Amino acid sequence: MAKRTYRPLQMHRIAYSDLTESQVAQALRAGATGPTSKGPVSKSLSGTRLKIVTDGGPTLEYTFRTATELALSENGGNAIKAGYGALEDRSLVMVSHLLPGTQRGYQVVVDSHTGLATVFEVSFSGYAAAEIAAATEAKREPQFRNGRRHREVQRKVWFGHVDRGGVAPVARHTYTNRLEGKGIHWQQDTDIEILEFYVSVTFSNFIELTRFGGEMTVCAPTDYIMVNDHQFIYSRIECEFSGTFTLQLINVFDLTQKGVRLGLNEQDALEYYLYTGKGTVTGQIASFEAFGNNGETRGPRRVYRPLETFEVMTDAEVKDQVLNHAHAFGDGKGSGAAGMGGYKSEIVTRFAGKTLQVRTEGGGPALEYAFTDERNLKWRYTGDTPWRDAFYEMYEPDDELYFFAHLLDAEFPRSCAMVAFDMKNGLATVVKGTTGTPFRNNETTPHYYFGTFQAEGSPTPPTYLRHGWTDEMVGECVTWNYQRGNPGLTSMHFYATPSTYSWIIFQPDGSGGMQWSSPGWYSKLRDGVYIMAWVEEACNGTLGVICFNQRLMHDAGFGFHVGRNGLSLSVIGARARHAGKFDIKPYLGLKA
Amino acid sequence: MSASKQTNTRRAFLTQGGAALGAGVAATASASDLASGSAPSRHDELEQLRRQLAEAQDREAIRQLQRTFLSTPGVPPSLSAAYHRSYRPDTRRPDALWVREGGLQASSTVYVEAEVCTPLQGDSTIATMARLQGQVADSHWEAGRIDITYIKTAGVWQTATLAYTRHHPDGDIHHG
Repeated sequence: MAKRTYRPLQMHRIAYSDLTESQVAQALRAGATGPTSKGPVSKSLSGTRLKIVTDGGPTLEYTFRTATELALSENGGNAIKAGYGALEDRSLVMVSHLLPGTQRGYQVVVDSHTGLATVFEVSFSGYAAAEIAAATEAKREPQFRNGRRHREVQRKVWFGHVDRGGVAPVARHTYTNRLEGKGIHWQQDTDIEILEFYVSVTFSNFIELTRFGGEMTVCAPTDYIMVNDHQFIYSRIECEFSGTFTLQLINVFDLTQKGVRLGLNEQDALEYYLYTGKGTVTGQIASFEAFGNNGETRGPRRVYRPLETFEVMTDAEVKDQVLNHAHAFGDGKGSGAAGMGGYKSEIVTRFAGKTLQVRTEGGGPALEYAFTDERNLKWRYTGDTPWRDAFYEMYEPDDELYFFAHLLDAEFPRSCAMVAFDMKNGLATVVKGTTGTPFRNNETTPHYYFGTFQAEGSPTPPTYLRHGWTDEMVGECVTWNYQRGNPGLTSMHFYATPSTYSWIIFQPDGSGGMQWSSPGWYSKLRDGVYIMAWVEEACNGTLGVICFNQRLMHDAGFGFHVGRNGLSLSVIGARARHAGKFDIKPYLGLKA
Repeated sequence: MSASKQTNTRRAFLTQGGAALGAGVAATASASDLASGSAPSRHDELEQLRRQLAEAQDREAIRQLQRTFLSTPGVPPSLSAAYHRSYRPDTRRPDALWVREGGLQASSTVYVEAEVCTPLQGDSTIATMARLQGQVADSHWEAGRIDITYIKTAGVWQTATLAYTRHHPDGDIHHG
C-alpha cells in the first residue's frame, strides 16, 4: 500500500475559487506548450498531416510539425500553432492540446486501423452561458449560488473519421455500457494511485488513494465510449469540485491506461499532464439493462449539482424549523408508504406498555423508556425526573432485534435517537443524530454509541462484548427498491470504504444514471445484520440510518432531515438485491 | 358541432358544411357542383377554390397544432387529473376534425394511446435525482380520446379547450 496523504478537507468541502474568466485565461497560458508528461510521449505523428471530419462538429486539419508542436486549422480557418502531447495504445493515438490565446482545446482519439476518430472539444468559462441558456429555455432565472464556475471544463463530444481522401467509413465509435459494473485499481506513472468504479453509464466513482487518503469516494459525470471490445475512451469532469477534465484510453486486454488531466487544482494552478497507468480489475458487478441494450443511445449525460441546488439555511432559520416545525412519523399518525418507506415492515407493538433502559458507553446517553402504545412513548435521561413525550415507530429487522427512533429534546440544535436493541444478547446501539455541522446548519451529524439495555424478558448482556464498527460491507453493491415500479424509486448503494458510500440512480432502461456520494459509517449487530448511516453532506443534509439484514435483503431505517419544510423524522423501508462486490479492501489497508 | 360527420382514414378531417377537406380539392369541388344543380360560373369557381384553399390552410394549421401538442414531451396534465407523459397514435380508430362555418372555430377528436404516469413522491435526494432523470413511480399505456377545440384569432389558430377521456375502463393496452 502506497503512502497516504490525507487532506484537512474532503473534496466536497473544499471551497474552490470562483475564478474570473481572465484569471482562468491567465492560468491556462502555461498550457500553450501542451501537456507535460512524466513518461515518454508518442512521436508517431511528427511530420504528418491529419484531417478529421466530425458529424455535426468541427473539421480539424492538423499539421504535426514535431512530436510536440502542431498547427491546426478549424473548419478551413487560419492555422493556429500549439504545443501538444500524444500517447498511443495499439492502433489508437490520443492527442491533447489547447488553442493558445483561447480557453479552448481538443482531445482527439484516432484509430489508425479503422480511420475512426472521437473528438472532445473542451473549453473553460462556458458554464455560465450554458446555465443562462438552460434557464431561458426553462423560463426560469439562471442560478449561480456556487459562482459562475469558469474553472469547470465543458466538453462537446464529436464522433467522426479521418479523411483519407477515399470513401468515408460509415461506422463510428459509440457511447457504451460495456464498461458498466467494472472496477479498476490504477497505479499511474505520476505516482497517483486511484480506484475507479464504472457503475453507471453517465457517471463514475473514484477514490483518490494517494492524494486524498482514500477515505471518501466521489462521483463525476462521465462519458464512456467504445472503440472496440477491449479499448474504451473514458472521460469525466469533476463538476461540483475543481472542474478538472480527465480523458483516458482504457485497454482491457492488458489493463493499461493512457490519459490526460486538464484543469485547475485547489491552488488554482493548471494541472495539464499526460499519464499512463497499470490496472487491476477489482470486480465486475451486475448491470440491469435488458439484454441487447448496449448503451449506444444512452441519452444525455446529465450533471447532478447538489452543491448548486442545496439551499444553505441560516442559524436562525434552522432554529425556527427545528423548534416550531418538527414532525416525527406524521405526528404519530404513521409515516405512510410514500418516499423511501414504500416497503416498510409491520410496526412492532410488543413493547406497548413495557419499559426499556438503554445504557451506552463512550460518553453516550443513558435513556429510559416507557412505551405508552405502538406510536407514543415517554423517555428521559437516566437520573432525570420528568418524562417527555415523543412519537416513535419500531421495526424488527431481524428476529428479536428491534430498531426504533424518536425526537429528543425540543432544543436547538435538535437531536433524534435511533435505537437498536437485541433481545437475544442484551446489546444495544444508539445513533444520535443532531442538526448542524461545522459547514452548514441544515445538515446533520450522527454519533454512534454502543452499549447494553434492560427490558422485560431481556437477557443479561455480556460484560465486554459490544456491537462495533465493521468493514465487512466494504466493496458490496446492493440495489434498493423503495417503491413499486421499474425502476421507480430505486438506487444502488456502493459501500466504497469504511467511511463512505455512493448511490446510483437507475435510469428507465435499467442502466446506472446519476450518482453521488457521502460519508457513511458501518457497524455490525449480528452476522449479516448491519447498521449503516450516512449524511448527505453538501447535498441534502439528511441523516439516513438503516439496519440492513443481508439474509432478508431488506432494511428498516429512519431519515432525519431539516429544511425549509421543517424538521422531520421518517421511516425507510426498502427491498434489496445483491449486485456484486469489488475486492478493494487491500487497497484501503483493510484485511481482505 | 356538425351534424355531418364523415370518417375514413385516421387523419381524415371533415368540415361542417359537408365539404370533405380530407378528400382533396377536386373531389370537394365536384360535390359542390352537384349540390348547385348547374354549371358554376367562372366567378363561382374562383370563389370556391379560394374557400377550399382557405380551408386547406386552416386544416394544415390545426393539424400542426395537434402535432405540436402530441409530440411535446411533458404534455401538461390539464387534460385530466392524470399525468400524461407522452402519446402515440391509436391506429385502430380514425381521427376527425371539424371546421365550423365562418372558419373561426374548429374541433377535433384524436384517438391516442396515452402514457399515464404516477409521479415519484417525496423530497428525498434519490427521488429528486430520479425526477431529474425523468423517472416516475409507475407508468402504463391506455387507450383514450382527446377532444380539442380551436379558435382563430387574428388569423392564427389556437387551442381553446382540451379534454381527455379514457377509452373504456378496461382499455389498458400495455403496462410499461
